[in-house]
Amino acid sequence: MIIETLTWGELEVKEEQIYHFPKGIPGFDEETDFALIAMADTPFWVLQSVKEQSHSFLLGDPFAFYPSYEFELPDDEAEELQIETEVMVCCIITLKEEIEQSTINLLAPIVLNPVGRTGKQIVLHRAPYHTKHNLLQEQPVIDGKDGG
Amino acid sequence: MLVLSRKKGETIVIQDQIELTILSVDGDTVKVGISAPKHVDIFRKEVYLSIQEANRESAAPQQSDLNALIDRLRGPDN
Repeated sequence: MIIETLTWGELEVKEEQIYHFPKGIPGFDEETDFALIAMADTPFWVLQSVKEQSHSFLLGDPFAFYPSYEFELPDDEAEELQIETEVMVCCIITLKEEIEQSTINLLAPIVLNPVGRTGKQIVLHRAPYHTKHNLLQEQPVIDGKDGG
Repeated sequence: MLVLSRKKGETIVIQDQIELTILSVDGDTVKVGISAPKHVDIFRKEVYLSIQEANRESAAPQQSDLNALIDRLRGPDN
């Protein structure tokens, strides 16, 4: 199908690039269908709403920027997404004009089921992460009380 | 808003499926136990609001910022 993307204008995406987010994502509850578009040779993807061109997010591979990143996917979340074996994790990046100010949200990763093509932004509980980790400089994670 | 009082150990039921129990009260801190079906997401409000805000701030990244970031990661050699 052809969709309007913010990054590339009109773009043809394949069926297998479309992910369904039954609950939308916080702040964009109405958006339930997104195309996941990998950016070649980068640790980035674009998550583009198929309905609304301006609802576009830059996702990054959290493990590329924070190799020590880890969390346990709660059973009920895995069940909700019907995840059995395959799972993909990306995090939303907040880009700033000053590149050094750009951040990545490790507290609420986007968890995707590449088989059933469902997705959800999950909120980690009792995790030492927050919504704004410096993207270009791995900061030691301080055990705060930001966990959801 | 429905306002009601509960004592330690007492419960409130919402829609048959969600139960809120007051576990303990210590000064101005109340410990609450929540039983809900698996599909019901439960968040601390301030955390949920911070995620909403971060998402809104992240939407529609500027192409120029994206290019600058990718150039930066590729390093000066390319």
